[in-house]
Amino acid sequence: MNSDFHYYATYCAAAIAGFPHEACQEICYSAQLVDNCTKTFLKTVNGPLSAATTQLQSEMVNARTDTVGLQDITRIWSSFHFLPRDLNAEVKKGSKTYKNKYRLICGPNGDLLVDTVNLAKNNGNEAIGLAMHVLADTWAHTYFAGTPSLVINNTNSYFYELMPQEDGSFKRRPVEFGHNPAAKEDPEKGEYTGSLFQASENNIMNLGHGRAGHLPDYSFIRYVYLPAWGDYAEIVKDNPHDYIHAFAQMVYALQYLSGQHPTFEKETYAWTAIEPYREAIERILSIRRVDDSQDWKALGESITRETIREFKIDEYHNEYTSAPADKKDDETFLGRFFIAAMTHKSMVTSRISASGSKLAGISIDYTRKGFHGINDYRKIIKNMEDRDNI
Amino acid sequence: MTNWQKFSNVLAAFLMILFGLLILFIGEEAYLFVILAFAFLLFIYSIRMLVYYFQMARYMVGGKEILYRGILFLDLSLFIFTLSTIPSTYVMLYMVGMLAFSGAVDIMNAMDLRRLQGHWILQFIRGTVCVVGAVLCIVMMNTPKMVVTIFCFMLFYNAVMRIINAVRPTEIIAIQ
Repeated sequence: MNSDFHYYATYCAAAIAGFPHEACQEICYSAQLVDNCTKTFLKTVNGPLSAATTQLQSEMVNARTDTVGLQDITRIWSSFHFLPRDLNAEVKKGSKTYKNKYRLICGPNGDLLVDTVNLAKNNGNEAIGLAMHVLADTWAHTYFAGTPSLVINNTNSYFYELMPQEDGSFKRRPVEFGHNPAAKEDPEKGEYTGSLFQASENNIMNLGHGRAGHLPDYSFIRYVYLPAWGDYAEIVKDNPHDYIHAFAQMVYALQYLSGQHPTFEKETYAWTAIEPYREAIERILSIRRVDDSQDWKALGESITRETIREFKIDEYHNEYTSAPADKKDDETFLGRFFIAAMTHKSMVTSRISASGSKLAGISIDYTRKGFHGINDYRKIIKNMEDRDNI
Repeated sequence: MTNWQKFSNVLAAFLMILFGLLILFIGEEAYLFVILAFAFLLFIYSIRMLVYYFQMARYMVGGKEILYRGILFLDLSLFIFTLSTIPSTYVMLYMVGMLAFSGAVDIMNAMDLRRLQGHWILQFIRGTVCVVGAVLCIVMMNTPKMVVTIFCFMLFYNAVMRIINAVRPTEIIAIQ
């Protein structure tokens, strides 16, 4: 998903769920920041590098794909963009490594999604926005895994866009991906960009939906292809269907987080709440273009009667950099976001580790073994202790 | 990284340094070791590719391609093993080609990084050093010692990277 959905559509979802304007702004800012919080960004504000929620192309080009490098990549992409649907899925083929990679395939309504939403409860708007990003991406990035893997994420030339016809049927149009990352995409001409085929299992080109380009991130598109893991069975990805479900589930999750439901249940959607806006939302989702920001913005402003500020990456820089060291984590927006990011990353890594897979690294139970490992994570220990004291 | 992975990485690094020092000590006659080392590495690579096919890639759509590549590299490595004498010039040309190619790729990546406003200078320097090394090899085509020296430095570089990675703290804290 792109900034139109993560920023403006998340604002709309928060507004429909009943959050006031400023809270909506914080939630959608946090949701969008997940796509901007790179190690490069963290260095500019002198933040903890372990709070990285994404990687720049330039960071990925330089990323090592040895064990440690792969675990770092997997922690970031599996936690924030490709949340695994079922870490205990029964896989009847392949080695242990194959099974572990297969279990990282992203999808909606998994147990980890429930954990993600519950972790955000009572943890501030930063944690809520972050959870909404993760939730939305489970719908867009379905069928791909947040780890470099040829055997899971590869696609081949059997790739067709389903073009809607006037009689309601769909005509197949072959998709041929270009490989120039600087090239502009043109949905009308069917010009899309994807990553190059690399025969190496752990090559960074085989991360996530790189081989399928940006198609999973476009709300209007429907396509059919053969996923590498799918035993030559066709898969149809219907993004308009998935995106409206993502939106309705976001509203439901936000209602839960604001105390309107006692628990967060899987496969539950706020269809009633979005009904007055459903026609407008479906219209936005179905337009063939790469950015729907203006329409989502207009919808959001019509709901709250407030002006939605544009996303600016440096909006909270000064607040964070000028705060005293002992106040950064609790009293600044970025500080709270970094804590939320590390807490979520820690939770997902520990779940993956507990499933018997070391693909995202090793997780150590603090309560049993004390602190070991990456120093940045002392922050979440301190945060936990501070909350216990309160 | 598990303790076993840390141990095996450090062990492999020390073996690489030992092997590098050994062939540096032997001098220019060591180019035969270089040939054997490349053939051996190619052999290992092909075996790894075949293992990868049988463990994972055969379940992938279009995975047969991995099998064909594995067989091809295995055949090539066995062919090199059967050659008892290879003129040092060919080894030099192979090294020069590999070095120049790797340097060119580094320089192109550095240019991409510069365009993306990433950290490009170190990669550019590394690429330039490789290309300059390749040019030096061509200039001194009659001195196999250069090939051996370059090979040894590649070994040392990889060994150091392995040790650095093995001692980096990597564990993540889980709060239940």
